[in-house]
Amino acid sequence: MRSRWLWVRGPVAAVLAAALWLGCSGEEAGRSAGDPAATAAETTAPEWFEDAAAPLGIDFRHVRATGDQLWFPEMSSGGGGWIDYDGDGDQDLYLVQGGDLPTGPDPRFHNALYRNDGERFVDVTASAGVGDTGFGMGLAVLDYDGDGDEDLYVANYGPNVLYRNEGDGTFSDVTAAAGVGESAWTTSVAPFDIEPDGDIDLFLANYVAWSPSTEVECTGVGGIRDYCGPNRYQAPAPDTLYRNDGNGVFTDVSAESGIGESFGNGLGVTALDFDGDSSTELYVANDLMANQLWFRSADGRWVDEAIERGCAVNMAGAAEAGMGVAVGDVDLNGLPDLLVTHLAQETNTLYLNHDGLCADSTTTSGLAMDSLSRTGFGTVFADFDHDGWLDLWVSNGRVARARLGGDGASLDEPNLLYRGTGPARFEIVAPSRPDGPLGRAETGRATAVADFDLDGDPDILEVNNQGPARLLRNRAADGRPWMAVLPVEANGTRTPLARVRFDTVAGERWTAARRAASYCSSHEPIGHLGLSGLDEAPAELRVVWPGGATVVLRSPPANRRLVVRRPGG
Amino acid sequence: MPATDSRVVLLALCGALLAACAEPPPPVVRTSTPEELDPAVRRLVGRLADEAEAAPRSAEARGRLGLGYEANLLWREAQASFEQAIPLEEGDPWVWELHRAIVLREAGETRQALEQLRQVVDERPESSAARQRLGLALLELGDAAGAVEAFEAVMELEPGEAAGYLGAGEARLLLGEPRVAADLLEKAVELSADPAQARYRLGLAYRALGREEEAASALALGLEGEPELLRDPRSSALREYTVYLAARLERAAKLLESERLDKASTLLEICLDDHPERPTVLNTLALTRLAQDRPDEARELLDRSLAADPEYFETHLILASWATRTGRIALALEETGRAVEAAPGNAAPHTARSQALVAAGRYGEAAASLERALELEVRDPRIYLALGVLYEGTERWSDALALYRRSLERWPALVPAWLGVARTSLALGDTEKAREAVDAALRLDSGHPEAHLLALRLEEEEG
Repeated sequence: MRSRWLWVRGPVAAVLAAALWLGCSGEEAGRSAGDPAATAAETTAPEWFEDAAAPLGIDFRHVRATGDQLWFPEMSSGGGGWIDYDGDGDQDLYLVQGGDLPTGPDPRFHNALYRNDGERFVDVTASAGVGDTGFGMGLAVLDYDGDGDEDLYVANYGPNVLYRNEGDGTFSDVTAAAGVGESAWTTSVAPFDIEPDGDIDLFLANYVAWSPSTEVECTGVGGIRDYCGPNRYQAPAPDTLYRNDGNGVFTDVSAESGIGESFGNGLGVTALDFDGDSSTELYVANDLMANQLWFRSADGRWVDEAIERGCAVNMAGAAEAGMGVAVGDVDLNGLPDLLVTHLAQETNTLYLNHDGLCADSTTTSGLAMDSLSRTGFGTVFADFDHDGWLDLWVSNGRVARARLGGDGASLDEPNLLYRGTGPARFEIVAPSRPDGPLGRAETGRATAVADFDLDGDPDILEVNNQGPARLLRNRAADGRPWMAVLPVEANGTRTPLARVRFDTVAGERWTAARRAASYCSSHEPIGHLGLSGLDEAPAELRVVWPGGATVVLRSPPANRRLVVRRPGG
Repeated sequence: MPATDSRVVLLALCGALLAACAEPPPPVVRTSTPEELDPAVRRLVGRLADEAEAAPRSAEARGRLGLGYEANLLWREAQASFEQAIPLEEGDPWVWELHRAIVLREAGETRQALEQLRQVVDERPESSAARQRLGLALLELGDAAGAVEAFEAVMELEPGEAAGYLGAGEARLLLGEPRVAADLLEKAVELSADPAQARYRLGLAYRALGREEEAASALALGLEGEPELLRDPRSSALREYTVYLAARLERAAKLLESERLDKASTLLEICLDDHPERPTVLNTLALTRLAQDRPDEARELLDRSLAADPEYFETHLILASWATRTGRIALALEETGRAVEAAPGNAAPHTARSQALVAAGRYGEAAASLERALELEVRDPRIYLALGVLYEGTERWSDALALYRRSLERWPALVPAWLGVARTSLALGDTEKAREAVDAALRLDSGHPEAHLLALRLEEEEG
């Protein structure tokens, strides 16, 4: 929900276009955030996460710029996610680097692949051949050629890259052959299955048609130069839909599908079964433009129904600065709800899904207040403490200078963690240490979850813009029971999206194994439920793939990762 | 000396002695890095701080300094200044408390802001501005019932304003009372100068009541409204003190758009004094000069802008506009061609190019450029109207009609689009549709001269 207090609107709209109608060029008002502070009603608890990146060998540090030119793409970069590239069952890490835009690709600034050896993460970028030097944003993990191993798609400002996993620890750049070298500024990517025919397709959220030659000058707090907002450029980019033709080649079907006819400053995207009919929808978080919710109609065209369904704008009818998206059934009605992260001065907004219609329930959920002073990017719902309620993590970091003087140029902010306390109810978890994962301020961007240490609970990868990547090992769930299911395709690769239903004595709990969500991120797609808040373990679990293929497991065992294969393969 | 007089003198002496012995007022709040401030902001807060130092016990002076900081988004300095003003205020400090709450909220201290607002409302229950802020804070905190109470008080205090009805309507929606909400929001729509925000919430209420058709219409009309905040006794000062460059440029843009060119010019000249080489300022003033039909001065400004940054994209676009308007078509085509090449995904160069092409008499290409602009920017009604006129000019009546209809789906109150429908319907021989469109235009603007002319023409055709 956008703050109703501001009398100064952020971006000055209609600038470039206005010039032609004898309007006016203008500068963006400060997109500033207040200084965060601990608040009185917070729940204090032992730190839920511990830093594991450095101890486990991850030394990646994101670079957004080496100078002070303030190119627009700099502040949005910082992606990362999970991939099992060596097929050993545990999750390896891929981190997306920014760089130095004016100088172009520079071997000093490349993406990095870390192999999870169980005890350590080992940088295998060079041997694997995946050190792309484009100015990086996000990624997608998919088995695009159906050969049973996970391939990698990298989204850049500039041409994207598809790396084919050769199955021997190396990758090949097959971008040109596969026809997926989109050169628009792609941010987040959703791998999903359109038809569904088993071939994984790609939806690309594209941001702004920006180039160095169209850069403009903006000022922030007190009149100093600062990053601009997207609407200053008046150039929202249409998104891209690549259909996988099943022969190693994709076809750009953006135009014929209708996707390419719609424009938005796309930053976050998720694939989901919004109305529970076993088809897949796409939700795109747009920055300062209405969000989109795409439904596929019988003729293959996609139609944006976000406005009619109430998840395009907040309760005030205002388009907010959509960054990342978290998905989860927080009100336990069986349908996925959406949380979109936003700028400071706006809340992060929770859209509860009631029979396919959304209601902005931000304020009543307890999520409004603490988000007002921070700019959210990566975000995820997960039951971190295994009490049966979805919790919420938000990685924060400004997009413009907040203060003058000292570290005023820093975009750092502390993150937010909310504990789920009931249906669509949350309370803030206070940091126990100022230098811990919750207390310290960094410029958070991507947030991706995986159970990297195979102990049953969700851990967090956080990529910080102009800062270190963080691996946050979950300690909140230690010793608490859980159930997890890993849906896989017939060839054994992880399914990018499948719904999972746990039947408990208290009713049905729906979750999903989902790759694409958050911001410039890729999750481990696993269905997960903490059991410590339940009287009895679920009696049954059901995995539903897009298209309706279903597997039911009766009396599934707890505290074990269950691999469930799609039937019919 | 009479006894009474000596007592007065004694009291005065004691008073003076006490004043001398009392704790000195705290130092006036100044920014630690004034060199980073916009010059206009630096001058303003410097002057206000000097005034506060000259009258160290003046709550008014400290409060005004706080307003100076607040107006220019310097929340922490504003908060500190208001906190100094409050204990110094010999009268009722509620206005300083109210503004302290406002800046606390802007700085992210929502709970403290709420606490302060409650105090203000207790002290000044008749302040509708404070009540509205309290209601908004309670909404943000999820206390819908508390918000209802606050907004109902606003409704009583300001029955002619939409604010109370709007807030109460939203709170009732959150409480799951859509019928009550709909009544309140209908009233808010009726009272509001910019009813979009009320309309969107009304759409949500209609949807909850199963009134789907009305809901769809209200939701579509309710996008992107502006919040309406009730004024308090210091709102005027706040506006006067808002001098940071981005705000001034935004104000100038609005003035330019509403054709108040002299005011825009004055404001931009002030900006130019502080920022003589800033392309954004030079370019905006150049646009103003063009609108004032002073192309030579516009060109001079554009040359200065190009000297400051030869590659600045906007400057080239405005130079193209200048060239088109002054008949230098070759230059206009050259500049817009370069702009399209530099930013093919941006609507503005295509729009500029279409204008140059029109000036060159290349109407087909001009239409194609505008069609591309429209693909890239569907939210600007001016592109629809310009393309519609171009279609009309090339007798593409059906295309024009379809385009005007499309724009009316987005902006049902767009009078020029209704007139476009009327003109094209007439051209297509459909006088009935033309009549409907003229009537719609006259309902929206009863004095519109073209609407009256079209009405006359229709009467002639019909009669």
